[in-house]
Amino acid sequence: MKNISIENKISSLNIIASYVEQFGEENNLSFNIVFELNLILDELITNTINYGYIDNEIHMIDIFMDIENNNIVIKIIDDAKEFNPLSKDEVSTDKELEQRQIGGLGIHIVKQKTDDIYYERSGDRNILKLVKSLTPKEK
Amino acid sequence: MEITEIIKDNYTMLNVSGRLDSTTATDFEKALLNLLDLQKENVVCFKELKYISSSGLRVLLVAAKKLSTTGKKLTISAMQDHIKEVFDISGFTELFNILPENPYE
Repeated sequence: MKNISIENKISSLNIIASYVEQFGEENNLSFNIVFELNLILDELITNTINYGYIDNEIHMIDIFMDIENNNIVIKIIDDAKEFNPLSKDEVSTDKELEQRQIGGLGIHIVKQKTDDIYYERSGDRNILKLVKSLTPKEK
Repeated sequence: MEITEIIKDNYTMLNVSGRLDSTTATDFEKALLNLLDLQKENVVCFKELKYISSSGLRVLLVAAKKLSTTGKKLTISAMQDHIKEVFDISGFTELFNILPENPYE
């Protein structure tokens, strides 16, 4: 298990990048998996930082990563306002340019790059658990 | 992220290297929109780009929407496979002229 606490500011993304890099090295993960883990955390944490807080206080976001039964398990816990990424409508990725919406793509990318997502609101906390299988998929 | 601008008589090109995420997307947006005012042919070269998130895609979508009414062209070239994959899953591959190599190299 590897965990990290970051502040709710955009510059924390650089800390996340090195954290994921380290986790990848320790677990011999491929370049692509490390890239995708970085992308998943980046999209979710960017959302939380940009839209999750209504005050200007410093808030901590806790991230846990582990490997269980050939799955990478990610847990993100924050005290931002209630947000269940699973409740978001799917963005349409096959529309013509004019109808494409700017925004909403981040969650779409997260869903594409994970196998399971579980959301729970506990007290004033969002608890998001994501599972990404390391077993290669048939395309 | 680092951006190099190349401005020629008949085209402009942005070489983008490093990480294009929410910490750098604003700089990329400024550079790109600035460049698009200049020329008809525009190339964004992603050969040295290591990382892109939806914040970077967002900037490209803004640019494409701007260009669609002007008849100007935006080409994205030389993406590495993992970057191309993000374009694919986001449905961005159809929105741009994408070339495997830089057309002006």
